[in-house]
Amino acid sequence: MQKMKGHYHPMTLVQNDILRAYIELGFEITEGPIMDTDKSNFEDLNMKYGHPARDAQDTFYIKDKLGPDGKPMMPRTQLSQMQVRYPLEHKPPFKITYFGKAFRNENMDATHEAEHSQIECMVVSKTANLGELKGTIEHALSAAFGTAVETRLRPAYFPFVEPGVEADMKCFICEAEGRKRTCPICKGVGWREVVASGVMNPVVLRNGGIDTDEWQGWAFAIGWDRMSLFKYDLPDIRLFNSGDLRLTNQF
Amino acid sequence: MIVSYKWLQFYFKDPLPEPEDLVNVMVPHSFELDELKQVGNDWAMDFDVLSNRGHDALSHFGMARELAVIFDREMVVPDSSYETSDEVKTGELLDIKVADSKLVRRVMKRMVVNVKVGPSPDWLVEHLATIGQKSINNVVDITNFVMFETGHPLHAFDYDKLAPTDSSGLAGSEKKLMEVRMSRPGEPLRTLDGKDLEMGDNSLVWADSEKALDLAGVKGGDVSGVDEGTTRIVLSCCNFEPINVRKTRKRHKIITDASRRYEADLSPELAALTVERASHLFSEYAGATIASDIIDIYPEPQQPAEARFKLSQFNSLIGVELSESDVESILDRMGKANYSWQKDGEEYVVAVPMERLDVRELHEVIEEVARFYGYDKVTSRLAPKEDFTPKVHKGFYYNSLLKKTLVEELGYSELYNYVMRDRGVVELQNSMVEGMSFLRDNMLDTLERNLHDNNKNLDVLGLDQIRVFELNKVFSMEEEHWALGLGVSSTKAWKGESNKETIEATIAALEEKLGVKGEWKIEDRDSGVVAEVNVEKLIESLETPESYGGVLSAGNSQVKFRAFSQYPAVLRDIAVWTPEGTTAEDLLALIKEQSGDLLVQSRLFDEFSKDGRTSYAYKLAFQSMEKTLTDQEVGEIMDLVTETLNDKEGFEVR
Repeated sequence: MQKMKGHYHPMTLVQNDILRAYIELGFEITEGPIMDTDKSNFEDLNMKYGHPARDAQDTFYIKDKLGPDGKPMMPRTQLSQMQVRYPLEHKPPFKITYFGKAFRNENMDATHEAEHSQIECMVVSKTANLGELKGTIEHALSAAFGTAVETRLRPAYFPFVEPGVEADMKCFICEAEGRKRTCPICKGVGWREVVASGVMNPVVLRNGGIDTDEWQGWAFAIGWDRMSLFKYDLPDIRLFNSGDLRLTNQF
Repeated sequence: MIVSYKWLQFYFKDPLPEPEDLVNVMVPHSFELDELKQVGNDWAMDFDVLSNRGHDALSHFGMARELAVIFDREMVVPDSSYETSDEVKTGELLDIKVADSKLVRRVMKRMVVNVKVGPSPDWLVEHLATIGQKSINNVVDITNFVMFETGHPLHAFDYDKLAPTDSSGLAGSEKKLMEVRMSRPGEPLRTLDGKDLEMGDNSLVWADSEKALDLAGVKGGDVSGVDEGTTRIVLSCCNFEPINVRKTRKRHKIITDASRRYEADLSPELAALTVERASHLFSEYAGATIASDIIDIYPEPQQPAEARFKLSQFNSLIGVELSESDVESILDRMGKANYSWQKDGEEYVVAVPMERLDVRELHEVIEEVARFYGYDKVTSRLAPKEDFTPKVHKGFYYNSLLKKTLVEELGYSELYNYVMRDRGVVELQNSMVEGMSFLRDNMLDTLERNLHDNNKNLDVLGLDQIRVFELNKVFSMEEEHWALGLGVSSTKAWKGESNKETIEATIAALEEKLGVKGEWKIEDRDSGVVAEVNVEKLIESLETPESYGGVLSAGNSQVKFRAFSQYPAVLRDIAVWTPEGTTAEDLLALIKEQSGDLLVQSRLFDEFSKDGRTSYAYKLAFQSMEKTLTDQEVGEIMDLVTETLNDKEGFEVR
């Protein structure tokens, strides 16, 4: 075969930078299904029927496909299904990471995707705490950006974690070059939200069969596509899924 | 929730920090900021209040309570004083019926008479303007203001527009009936903004003895609205159950500031405070006389709640080492937001303010204390080594090995595509995204489309053959699996193996790498040759290795994306005689110097030497980011390049 130069998709490069860091920290890579049940995607994660958080996650439903719970199945709306699925089959302590697509039924534009890509991780141990969560977020972001990244945590709300926090990364570009509205990472604000996270809600741990008197946990999800967008300074998030060599072959 | 800076100042004696400083403190402790902007002499701060804080924080009171705790400042309690008149008795003018106290947890009604409808005072107009609300008249403005202050909606009905009580009621008396009941199919209801609603039998409405008056908890009705002639109003402040409000507003496709608050679930205790503030403002700014009594139907009063935690639990979950006095000083500060606490053995027992329906469990009260302690003071660290041996994920290992082989050995480029598309077996019944009503059931179609699209850009890419792959999921009703799709296409100028031969050689190389044979589908399509294999089946018989080894791409590319043009490229060939010792790169540098940014791709396609001179031939692609280039524009560039080269000693454009 005639020799040619091949290229990785830029999101694969980001993914592997992050996963390599997780593997070094002793995380196990695992995965869950895309087609998920109402129980696994919602109920087990503390979002019962009628929970307002369900509305925030505009859900696609699969026609003529019911789960064992008798409810319509859906392409998962987040990756957090593993927060219950994994513990149901494994005893703590553990450190796991899982990644892939999550689906939101919303119109797409340059900054909104219907197929989100996320990389999530979760730790259950006797000491899992917010400080470890913050440290691990910073470690993962630093690996992805190839430079030390500082974060700030902000209160946020996700039914499966409590306290729930979002992590903003401090913009290292603005730090070095001064704030600019054109900054690809923060648009001159100085901070950019990249991570949804929190200390595990005991309700969710118990749904996974974990004794919450003994164990505690944390979890966080990185917006894998959004972060790749910032890192490489793309103008439109939909480019990643466009199957376009004019993107891939630049990397 | 848009918050007015000046309005917040109203609740504090000493000046608040400057808007930007205030926001910078608020964001890490309380709410994310969507926007901060100047409005007249005031600042509008748009905070993103998430669904667990809708109980208390969709209000200026809620925001002020956050500030009171963060800055440890006493709040100034706003004036709720007013005089009532014994001459006016709500109970003599109104008869209230509640059909379902599960859906209507509290009803408060009060008559307000001698109302003088007119313009609002300037401060009220300004405060509302800052948060994007138009001033209508003093009565409407007051109800609006109070909702944005306490977070609890309220409504003013024009009493004189209510139907007289029917004959079965209280003949001879002026007493009128108001009932909250389910709508009747087909009954008319026009909203305040003139929209006629189609009523079924399942929307909660306030009604008089004849007709529906409003969509309860969602939108006021036209028929009983306040106008310039209004003199008697029924001040109505009710607590509605959230799920029913949500269903109602979805059914009628109306979202209002009121429905948003009810949906968040409100403490019925807030209604009393709301009626007090409204009574004060009606008396003060609408010259009104306030009835001495309030009809208050509140069958199941909210019980006080407490939450408990131990210092050791707090420290363990947050990862800090606070002392008792540290935590107690935070709890004392929280007293500014009406929290109180005591100790029961090792446990802190925290009495939770009525409006904070979100603070009950251990983790919830710990979050509250941690927020006010400050997440910025939590030290980052990594999780310690655990008694846990991570296993290698077989699928991920082999997926990575396949990618590495394809990219680094076989010259393939990786593409990502949407797994949702316009055809497939698994249908999404409610997709709002155009062209995405199915999950794809094969890779071949995806890769063929990729070939088709990318074939148009070969000149810009500078390629005569493309080799692409995607490794991701495909779906059937029964299962989903990881699939590898390959695609190869070439131009006529391609001198290597055919598309088919390339794909076959690729498959052979991958199978050799893995040491297994797979069931590949190979198809010759219009745009090129495509192939697909079920990777999970392909690797079924393989062992899981002990470690990932070097299978993950060594990445961390610091490349920045260069935008590409949406306009077509214009091609030109150029062949040039060059003097001895000139390389192809030297020539290209000279060409680039003259042709500037519009030259996006160049390919050397011919090279030969004669009599000490070398001829190089380049294929050049010109493209603009802004427009389609004309032949003339490209011709001018080529003329410039030709002229410049011909002027050089020993160069000659052929």
